[in-house]
Amino acid sequence: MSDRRAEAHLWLLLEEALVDVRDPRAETWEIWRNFRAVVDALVAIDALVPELGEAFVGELDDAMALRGLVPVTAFGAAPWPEPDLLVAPGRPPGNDAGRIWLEAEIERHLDLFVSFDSETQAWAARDMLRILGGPVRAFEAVGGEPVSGLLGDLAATLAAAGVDPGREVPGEAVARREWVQFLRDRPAPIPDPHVPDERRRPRVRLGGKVTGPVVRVDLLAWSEDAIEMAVGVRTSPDLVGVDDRTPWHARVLDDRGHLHLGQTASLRPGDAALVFQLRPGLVIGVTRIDVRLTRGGWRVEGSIAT
Amino acid sequence: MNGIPPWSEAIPPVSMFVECDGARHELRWEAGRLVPSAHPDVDAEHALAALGGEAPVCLRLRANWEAYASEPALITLGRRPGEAGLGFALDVNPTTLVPVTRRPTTVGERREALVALLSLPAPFIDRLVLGAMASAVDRWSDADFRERHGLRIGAALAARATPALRRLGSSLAAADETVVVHCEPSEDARVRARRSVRGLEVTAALPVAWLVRVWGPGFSEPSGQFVLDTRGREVDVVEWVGDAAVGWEGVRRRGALELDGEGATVVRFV
Repeated sequence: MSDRRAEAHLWLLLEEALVDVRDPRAETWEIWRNFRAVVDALVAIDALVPELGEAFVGELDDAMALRGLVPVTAFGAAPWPEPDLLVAPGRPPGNDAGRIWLEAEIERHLDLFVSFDSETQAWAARDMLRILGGPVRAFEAVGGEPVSGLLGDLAATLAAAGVDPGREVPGEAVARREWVQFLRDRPAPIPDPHVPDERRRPRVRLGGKVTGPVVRVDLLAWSEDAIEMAVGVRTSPDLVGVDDRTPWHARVLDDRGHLHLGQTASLRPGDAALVFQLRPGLVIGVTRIDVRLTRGGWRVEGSIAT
Repeated sequence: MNGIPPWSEAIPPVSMFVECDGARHELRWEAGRLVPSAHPDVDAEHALAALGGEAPVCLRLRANWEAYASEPALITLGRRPGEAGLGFALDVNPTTLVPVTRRPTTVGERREALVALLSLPAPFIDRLVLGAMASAVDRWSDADFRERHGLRIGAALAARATPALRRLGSSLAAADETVVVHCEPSEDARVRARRSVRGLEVTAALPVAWLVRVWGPGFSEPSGQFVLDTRGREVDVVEWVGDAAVGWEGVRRRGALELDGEGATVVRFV
């Protein structure tokens, strides 16, 4: 018996979206984006095959087009996928894939968030919590480990950093020290071009609990403004079901407790290395960094001496 | 036959006019089918088209309708409770209609055929969707069909029934109490309610046929009563039995649909 909980959740979510679009105050694109965010998250943790994810987005496009909410050109009318695709091949529910994905996704949002000015931040904080709320409910609906506590921690972090999260912070939520610091520091954009002051070739293999590609940090270069990190990736045939389009996230925590975040990178066919740029850079006196790379619900990490 | 009238008996006919062979021809929906009134001998015209003749627009629209009459995706596309008319309202472009001599085969042909059908006036779209629902009812006993489309149809059933079930639950709820509705397809209709930490929870199991026998003809809530099933003008409505301590069970009460003095459909109990 295949696990169809992700599919069941998305059908109900699609019906909810079609109710929501009738609210005259609703923004069609926002409803579409929130639905897409849930689809992508379920695909990223292997709870849904990518083809089915696209089919669901197509169904919403079609229904919105028929209601005049998006142009008729968005009406694709693709037939529903063949039955063999209805079986999600991925991980058994109840693992920590949702938590891994969510933690990386929160940090991706935090990196974007610090670029907003303080006028925009209250709106952006509410938006961030709303966008992430969809996948959190979806993960719990498909039987994954409960992750809503992590969203509570994000709300507590925002409040501790002086940003109104727009909702009540749960009593058990804990502000994460490194997130609060990152929000308070608001690191400047990475200079272009970035000229590093230091370079190392650590060639440290990152390890994880789950079988996946062999990931090695080959190059580290940094200044006080940014860190550049080149990561060699040798994919393994065991990495079944991970969508090639799923981006990689990198984060670095230095031994002084400072977090360094960057935007995502994707491994294109034929690529053997990923290059990340993270901000801020490293200050004099940092002797060790913890590197974590996340892709969907899969994660590797390791420590590197600088 | 199980004595239950066909679903389409409760749906009034509608008609429209299309440009066809240089004239305005009537297209009529009645008894579950699209009827090209100006083309009494459809089979003969199809035979001519098979020999290389150009089939008239009316017949091509009808052929496209028949090709998609059982398409489950239409159930997702169709109207929800309280929703205004929908549709592309584009002029039918005869050149994009798939020929009557074969079914649409490519994704592009499928799209063009559906765009043409969904450009018809909203009452036709509603009837096209109801036809797809009726087809799903007929195929519901097929395990392969349920495996492939059951979740879609279950969600569509829940979406159509939930507003009425919420109002049904509200009659038990306190003024500011949240009403939570769970609805899933089942062979036998059953409605229950209980009070929980989430509020007043209504759990309904409804046959997929509820979509065509109750929701489609607009009989979900005559005079505020939730209708479980209909047989012609005869209806079974839900009445709550129980209390907050043990929960409530919705029991069937038989009545008959009638028009009141103002033309509204109401339930009269015998």
